[in-house]
Amino acid sequence: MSHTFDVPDALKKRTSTVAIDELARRGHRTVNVLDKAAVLNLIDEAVQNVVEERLSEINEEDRDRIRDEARSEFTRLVKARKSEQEKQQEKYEKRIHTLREQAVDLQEKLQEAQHHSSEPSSNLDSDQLRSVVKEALEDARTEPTSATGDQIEGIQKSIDALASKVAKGSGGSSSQVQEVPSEEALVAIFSKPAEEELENNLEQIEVKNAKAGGIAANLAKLRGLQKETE
Amino acid sequence: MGDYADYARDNFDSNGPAANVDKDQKKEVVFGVEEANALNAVNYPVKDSTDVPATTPVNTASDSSNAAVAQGRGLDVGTANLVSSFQDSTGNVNLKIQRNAFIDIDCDDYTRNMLTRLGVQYVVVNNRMVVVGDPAFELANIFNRNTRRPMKDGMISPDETDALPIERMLLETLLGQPKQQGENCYFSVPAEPIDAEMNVVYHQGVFGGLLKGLGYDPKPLVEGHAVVFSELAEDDFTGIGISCGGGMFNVCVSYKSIPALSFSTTRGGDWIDRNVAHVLGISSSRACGLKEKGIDLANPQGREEEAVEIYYRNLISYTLKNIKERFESSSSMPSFPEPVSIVCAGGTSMIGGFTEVFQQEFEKIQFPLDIKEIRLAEDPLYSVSKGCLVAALSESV
Repeated sequence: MSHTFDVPDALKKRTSTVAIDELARRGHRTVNVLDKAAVLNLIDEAVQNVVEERLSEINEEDRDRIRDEARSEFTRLVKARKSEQEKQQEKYEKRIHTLREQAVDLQEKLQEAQHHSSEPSSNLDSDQLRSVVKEALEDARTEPTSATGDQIEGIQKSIDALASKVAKGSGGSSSQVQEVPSEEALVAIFSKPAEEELENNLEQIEVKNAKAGGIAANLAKLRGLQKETE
Repeated sequence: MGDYADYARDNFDSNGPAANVDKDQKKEVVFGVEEANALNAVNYPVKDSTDVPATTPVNTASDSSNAAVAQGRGLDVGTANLVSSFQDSTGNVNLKIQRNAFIDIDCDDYTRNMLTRLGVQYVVVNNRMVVVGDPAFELANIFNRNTRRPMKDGMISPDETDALPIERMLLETLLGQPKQQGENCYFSVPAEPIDAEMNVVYHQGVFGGLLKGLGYDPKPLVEGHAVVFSELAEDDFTGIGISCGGGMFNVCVSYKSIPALSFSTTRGGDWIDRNVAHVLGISSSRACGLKEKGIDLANPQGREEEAVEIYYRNLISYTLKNIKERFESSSSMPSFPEPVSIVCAGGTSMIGGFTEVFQQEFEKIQFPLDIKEIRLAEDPLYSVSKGCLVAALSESV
């Protein structure tokens, strides 16, 4: 059943090309022209006529055989197509899995980077991360995405967002080392008067007041202890 | 505390717990007549108001301007409350208390006038009206929102960009100008936490700077040590002081006023609020109101009170286990010749039955020191501020 006949190829092989001048030299004044499509149509018509004639002649047994052969060919074709689709699906799933792992990995690195953002030596290598992200995105773009395009698109967006976060987050820590200022420096910074006076009514409202027992005894005792230690 | 507790109780009884509260709700607040009436019921004192007669101040102290003031100030910089203190000529300690919380609402002339008439403090920051102190809690409950907090886990909050200008103004209101430039002001700071990686340098530097900007000579004092100064004079400042705050529990073991061991744990009243809010489906501010309405931990009534009791017990147990572990692993622990006292202070210790539950949880562990007694501070809410004041005055001539 798998036998096929390439009619155009057979025509090409069995015909010869002759120049018009040569034909004239041989004394031909006119030629009958039959184009390739007309030939194919003629063949189709001839085959159809023969098959119809033969089908009317074939017995029950041949008819069953032809039906079985047709069914089996159909089943083979379906299986082949299905297998191809499964392979494709498997490929897509592997890709999604890899992208998801990359996304998780980036998320972890981002969290780690945020956690250690105050530490001068961060383990985060922003260039490496960017290249991983870029590679993943390039891979995703070059592969066919018709079957699971939405999923891959979603993961791409997620990776893009992560890459952007990583780039923003790591920029500061990798480019400049932030040292915690000393307490004296902080006191100096925050003791400066406010840049602008904020509108408020705090002066007009009495804050809740209370009175508590004296602390004279505590003071006397503490001063006594201080004297002892002197 | 009383004003808010009364209000919270009324509000909670009438409105009940809010189910399915969105954690990040940020509704725009519209200040209407109902809200105004609710706030008016609290009777906040108004100074120099010409529009309405001044209402009677709550617990008004004698006018500080007429009393001779000893040199030196104390300041408790707490996650939940800011408390300043000074000593007047009669030897009494005068305190000013402010809730360390705020809430932002729409800014317009009507609200501006109404708040001032009601005696509610506000600051305008970035074109938003920021209500500060206790009224912020009331508004938060009315609108079922959470208050914004300048401090978190015992330190200046990195999440609140508006915190610094507001803290600056609150400190100015609480302390006023120094009697003379460079007057001592001891302010409380948390000890290094043992259950979190946090650095107190920034927090200490910020408040030191703000106080210096007001003209004071700022001096930090570890919270637990302040409790020792305030509450353990009779024991020669020897024993264990615990400050049970909103963001942290601070512990100090002291021998004759010298701190032998100080540390903090990062669970406090806010931790209870968050957990109670979570299990009851209400906002943290409302959970705080529930906690402060007058619950007795030794005899909780109903589901809400039981939730509070469960988390209190857990917090106390957690703190005691940490203290025990730290004592056992520390090489600098003194060996006391006699049993010592444990004194608990801070707003979180003020709930009914606190000492009983503390005692019960204490008995469950093998504590490595001989303890004479476990007691509450004389004035738990003011204890840290008073301790800071003792330290400040002990340096003045």
